[in-house]
Amino acid sequence: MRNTFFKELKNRMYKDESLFLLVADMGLGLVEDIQNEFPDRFLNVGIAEQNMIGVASGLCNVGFRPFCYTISNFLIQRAFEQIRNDVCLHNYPVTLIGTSTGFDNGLLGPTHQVIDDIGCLKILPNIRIYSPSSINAIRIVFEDLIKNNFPSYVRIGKGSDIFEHEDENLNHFILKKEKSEILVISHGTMIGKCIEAARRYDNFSIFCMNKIKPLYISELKNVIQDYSKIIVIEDHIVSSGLYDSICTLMIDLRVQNKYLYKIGPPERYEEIIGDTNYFSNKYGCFSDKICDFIMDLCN
Amino acid sequence: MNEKNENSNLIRKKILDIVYKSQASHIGSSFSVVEILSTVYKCVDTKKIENLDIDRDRVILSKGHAAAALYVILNQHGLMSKNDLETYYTNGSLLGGHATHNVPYVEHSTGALGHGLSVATGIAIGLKSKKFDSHVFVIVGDGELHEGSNWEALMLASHLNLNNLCILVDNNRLSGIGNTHACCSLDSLLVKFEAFGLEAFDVDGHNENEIYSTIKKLKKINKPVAIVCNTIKGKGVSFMENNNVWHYRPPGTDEYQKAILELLKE
Repeated sequence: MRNTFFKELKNRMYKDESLFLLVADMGLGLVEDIQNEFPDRFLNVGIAEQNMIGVASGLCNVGFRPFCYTISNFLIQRAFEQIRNDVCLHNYPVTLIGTSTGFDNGLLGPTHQVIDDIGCLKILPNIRIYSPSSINAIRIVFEDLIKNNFPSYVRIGKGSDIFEHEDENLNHFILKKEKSEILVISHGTMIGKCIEAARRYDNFSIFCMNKIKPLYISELKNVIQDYSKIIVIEDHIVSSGLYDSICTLMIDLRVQNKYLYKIGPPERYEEIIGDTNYFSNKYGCFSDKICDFIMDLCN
Repeated sequence: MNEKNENSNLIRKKILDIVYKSQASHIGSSFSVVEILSTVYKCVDTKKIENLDIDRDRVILSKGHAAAALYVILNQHGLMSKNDLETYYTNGSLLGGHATHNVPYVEHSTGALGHGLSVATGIAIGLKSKKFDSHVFVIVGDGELHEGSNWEALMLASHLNLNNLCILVDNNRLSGIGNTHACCSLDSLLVKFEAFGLEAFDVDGHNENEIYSTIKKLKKINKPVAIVCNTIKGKGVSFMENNNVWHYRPPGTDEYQKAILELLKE
């Protein structure tokens, strides 16, 4: 998905001279094409994330539209005050491209586990948060963020279980099972796990959210209306991720007679290390575990 | 320009008026930066700023807590009405205690320290990329230079040879609770800037002629420039000078009257 994002960016840089790519010494094998093709609109600022975001804001002041790239944990937490004050406060159209999500880098230890980025950013006014689930979704996400001209965060996971779908809407049903009472809502690479689970036991619907902030109330109201059991699955601490947002939404909507469930990591930092599969298994995000959870709900 | 610029005390009097009326903080910081800001605004094309031309010079007050000085100077250049200025630090006003871009002609919201220099660096990169020959002036406090983000920006500005970037340090040597150098020494700032690859100058920060003539050298220098402006916090009012209590405390009625007399006598 990272490759697709940078190819899409490069294509658009030919047509749109305001696009500018900043990286904080990250992107080996990803950004060189852009660097070679647009040397005047590419800059590696070094390992200096705070400066990268400040520089991006300054570029906006002069009419550029910067994209800032590094892995998510350095991008968000290190430069948080710059994102708040220099980007979101000014409503500058800076796009933060963060790669690695959840436990993609789980073996590298807790400093590299990206499980609290959404929680950090979703509290900030103006920012849009995208969590693309597929290569096709990258193109749709790009279209939306360019059109909307807001601060944006695109959370791009690693993973080989990339699937394709034809839907042109950002958020949409991937699987709609008539007469099922169970709806799974998920985002990013977790969608792949949900699809795998459905191959074994498909008595549930899947709603894919490539854009998780803002939540569109009318959209979600329609989505949940036919289901009595709703499960949110994510590779993020659930108490500050999409599950938390949907809890708030359901309270605002005064939803009754529906049960909301969560599958994802709890609010804690890990002492042990492990790869994506290890932690997916531990926190129930693995396809078999999702399947078991849903089968239990049905019984 | 006269060395003893009458205008400086007029600016200080206006700052004193709005700070006293609103009982705001940071009068000492606002007094120390007067000549720096005043000179910078004399060096830029304020017509272009007024028209928001894309190739205008940019001024960023990174030490945003000296907003009162910025607002008085904007008013002096016709970029802010007297009515608006008088709403400083009052409920419902746009003019808060820190500089904000919600106020027309303020380029960037500051107040959290260590942000302005990175933003100015980005502007300088953007101006160069668009082949404009305009400049970016960023005013930082000496205490603010404790923030590490400044040094990230300085390394990049020097690496990119941003000769359209001018950093002016309001070097009043006092920060929040005492001497800037006592908690974490910045000496020697000049050497530090030079070591980072900038052309650095040391001037009397209350002498507009010195600041002005240094700024006028910019076009001949092919690297970013740092001007260390040696200033006195609370400058212009004897009992406020070098007394850090005026970082936070607003003047009472007696203090206001004494200060006004001193500023008028000058």
